Amino acid sequence: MVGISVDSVARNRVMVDKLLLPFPMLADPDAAVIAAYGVYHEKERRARPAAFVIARDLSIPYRYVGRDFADRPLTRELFDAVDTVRDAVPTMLRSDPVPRGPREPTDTGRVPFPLEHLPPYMRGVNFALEAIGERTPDDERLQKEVATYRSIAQDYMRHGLATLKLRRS
Amino acid sequence: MAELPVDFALEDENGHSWRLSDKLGDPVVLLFLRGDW
Repeated sequence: MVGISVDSVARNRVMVDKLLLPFPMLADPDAAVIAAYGVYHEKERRARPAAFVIARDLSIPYRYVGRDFADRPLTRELFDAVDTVRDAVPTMLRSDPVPRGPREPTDTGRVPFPLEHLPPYMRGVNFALEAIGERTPDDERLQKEVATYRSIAQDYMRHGLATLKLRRS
Repeated sequence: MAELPVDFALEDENGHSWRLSDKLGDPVVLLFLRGDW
């Protein structure tokens, strides 16, 4: 598994250390690879949340492109797709070089969010979503969205706390 | 858009080159993240 974003090598270093990420983070500041995989968000000038599973026979048994920042692939689906192609016949990957990307590499200067702030921030998000859910009990579609995003917020809280514990140990 | 997958090489957080075609001995998961955290 590997992460790809428009962030610089230095910023990725901070993120890997902060979150104790168990996989590499790759820097794609001009979004060349992001655009080549069709997941460049023109307006936001960065990647849409997306996941691709690439098998060694070069098939792609799973691809997911999120509608917005909160729309993420389900972990279970992703890992199930990996399991289905473990025995694929290896094929050499040959392709033309990726053309230059559409984004001018810039550093917005934003300071990364401290990990210690993540659990209380997500607790607040969870409470806000709970309130929205209670105000709109008859809106089935909204209730489903609220439930999904509350689950995401609770996951972030849990994993944030677990990462903090790991860092302290 | 070229047919996927396309090969590429990018730098990891330590400045080392990471190339997709070198890693395809096993299935590879590419996670595209918004970044600019």
